[in-house]
Amino acid sequence: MSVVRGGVAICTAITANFAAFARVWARSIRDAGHRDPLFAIVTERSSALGDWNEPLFTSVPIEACGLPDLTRQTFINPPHELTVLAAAGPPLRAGAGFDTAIFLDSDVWVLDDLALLVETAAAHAITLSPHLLAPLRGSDRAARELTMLRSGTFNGGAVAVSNRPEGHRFLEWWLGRLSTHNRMAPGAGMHHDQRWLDLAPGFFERCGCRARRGVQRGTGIFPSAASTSGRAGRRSPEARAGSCTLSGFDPARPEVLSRHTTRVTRETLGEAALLLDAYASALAEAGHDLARTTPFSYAAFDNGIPIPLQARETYRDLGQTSARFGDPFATGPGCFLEWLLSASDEPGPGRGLPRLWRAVYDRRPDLQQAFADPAGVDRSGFVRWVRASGLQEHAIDPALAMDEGAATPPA
Amino acid sequence: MPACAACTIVSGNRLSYARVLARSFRACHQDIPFFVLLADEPVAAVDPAAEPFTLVTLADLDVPDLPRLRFHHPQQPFSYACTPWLIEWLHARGVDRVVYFKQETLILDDVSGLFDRLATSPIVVTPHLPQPLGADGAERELNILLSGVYNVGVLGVARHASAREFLTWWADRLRYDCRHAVEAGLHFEQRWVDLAIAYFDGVHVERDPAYNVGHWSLPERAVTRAADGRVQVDGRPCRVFRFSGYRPEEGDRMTTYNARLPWEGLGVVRELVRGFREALEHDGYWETREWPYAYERFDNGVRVAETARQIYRTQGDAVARFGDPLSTGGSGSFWRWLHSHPPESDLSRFWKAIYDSRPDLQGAFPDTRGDGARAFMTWARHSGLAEHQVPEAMLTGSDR
Repeated sequence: MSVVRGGVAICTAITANFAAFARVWARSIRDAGHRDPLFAIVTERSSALGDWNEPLFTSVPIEACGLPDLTRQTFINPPHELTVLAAAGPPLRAGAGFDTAIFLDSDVWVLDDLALLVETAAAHAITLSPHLLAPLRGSDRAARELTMLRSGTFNGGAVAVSNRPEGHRFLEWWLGRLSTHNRMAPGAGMHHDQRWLDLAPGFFERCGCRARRGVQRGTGIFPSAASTSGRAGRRSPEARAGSCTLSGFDPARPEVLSRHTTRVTRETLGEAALLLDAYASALAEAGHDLARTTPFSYAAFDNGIPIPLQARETYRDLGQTSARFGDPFATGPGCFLEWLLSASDEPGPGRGLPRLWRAVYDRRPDLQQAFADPAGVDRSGFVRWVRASGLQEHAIDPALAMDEGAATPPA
Repeated sequence: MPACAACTIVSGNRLSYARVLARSFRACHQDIPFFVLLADEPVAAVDPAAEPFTLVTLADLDVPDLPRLRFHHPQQPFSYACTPWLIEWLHARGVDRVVYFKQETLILDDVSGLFDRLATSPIVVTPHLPQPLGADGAERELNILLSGVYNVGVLGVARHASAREFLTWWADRLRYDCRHAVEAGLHFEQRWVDLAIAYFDGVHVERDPAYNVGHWSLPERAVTRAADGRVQVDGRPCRVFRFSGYRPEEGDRMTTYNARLPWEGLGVVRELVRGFREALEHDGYWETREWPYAYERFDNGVRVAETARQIYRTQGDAVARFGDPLSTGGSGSFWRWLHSHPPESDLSRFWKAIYDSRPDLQGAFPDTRGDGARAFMTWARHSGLAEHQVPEAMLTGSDR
């Protein structure tokens, strides 16, 4: 990463198929009058990026960011989780040379001056952006606030950190937590990167913050100016700065605000719906139709077989014992994939199933009820389920299907 | 009314906790009054003039639809749901700065800092954890995220417009949602306060651990005694110690909420726990714990099952027609309605609600009319009563 000492850096993180989002993001920041350096961490292999060059922002491959345990992280994290991790990592590290680093999700569309955000970020060690700025009204007010309590008081799509000790401590802690606990599990207190942010105001010291809504200490709280996934619903009257987070927006379906909510529709948005059309047009001009087809370069083993989510989770759950496999993407004798397809020797009804399918079986009570002895008398039925339904339900490549014969003996 | 006041809330059978807390507060602050809201009916055996606090009754507060609120929640959650009402009541009587302590608390030293902070910040909250745990602390931090970043066992609220907004909002949410349902984002009254920092002006996060030491933070805190006998935390005066989850019946056990706290390793904390138990016993723990909670039963003596409370909560304002839900007399009572049959089933509304909540029962008993309903009620008698902790009287709708 080219380092500019001092000043503000604005950054985002994307997979290559989100390139058009980053272009629109960068254009909107420039159009709002900001000349600060813009960075996009691209969570792809350098080899897949070639000589990718963007006129409005510097694209930085994740391999160049010094992320600890990079190979492991690129294997255990699917695309979204990897970009979330990248967001908490090097681009936000004030130590990279900037006085203030502002992270904005690539689906943030800057509509107006960000001066208030820059000002707030510069005045605080950590600046967070709440999903909601005031109590909700209406008959569903409690239900909607409970949704926020499950997903996080603060929006992980807009976080700023300044070059202060508390900022560094925050990033060390956040990155550490995301390295091991970065997934969607609201029942366990997790919502990717986001729920962790709720702890930040309790953890980190004040550092000369000014009094404004909700701020009496070191964690600046910046008002999200407009709709976040349609959840905030309307622009805050006290918000000077303007940005619109279009999380979950699919330009192929501009009639839907976000895949994350069905509550807000084009009709309920009123004139704001025109924003969706404009955003979809901007994405189209930025080449989204082409970019969206770019494959994720950490999507497959080196033999080309796509890595199913269950394989990533199984590897993650192995913890540091997974180190014995070396590069988990590599295939060959003693590799992770070989182990994954070998027979499970853990006690229980699924003993003898390939470990991949044992993991699927163990997490599904319905399968346990339907196939009480999946490696024995029910093996044929279980194999039929794998081929007829299991592959599709768990997005597993047919090359990883099990057959009716005995599994490979335990490795 | 004075500028400052402290307070807590108890039901009658927890009165000894209020006595111990009030005495410990008065030992440090004789000039600041301590108020106790009795979230229960007045107890004849209690002489308010003889108590070490000023007693406030539910009748003193201006809680709209009180019979509904006290039916929404069982004993402890109801007392939690009363918190904003008590603080607001004190504000309305001219108290500028109120610090609320949850009942299972000892004040060990001067807490003026909390009152002082309220002069500049209308809302003061204390986090469970004032700093990140170590690299292996993720699971404990996740537990905190499920129960609430801030511990509302110590909460300061000043008489201020922003604080009034906070209390109004909090009371509204607690009317229906003061339950333990972490999968839904709820942990009684506490999780809601995670939103307060974003919603309201002037929220101060008091990170000095001396103001709220409890089982959740003990692994990181060094609790010791100074040469003069004062309790210290991390070498500084320990001001507020919380006994959340402590039960005298459990003997030498710090809390029922954390099995990983070994009694042997607790050092000075063991002395505090034993001292707390002795104080509770001195203040009538074994006697008062037997006092019945007034809102635990219908007026026919049948205990209110949680399912009945759930059904009542989901009816919204339609329950107004029932009047006091604890009253069973008359054909228009909630009790009668609960035992009536919905048009589509021969099960009572009470048992139909349980049926509707359980796909396994729907599979086992596809028909809730005629023989199907009778078969279901056989299950209800043999298993349902125990599984849902339902009094037997709910089988027939008869009085006890």
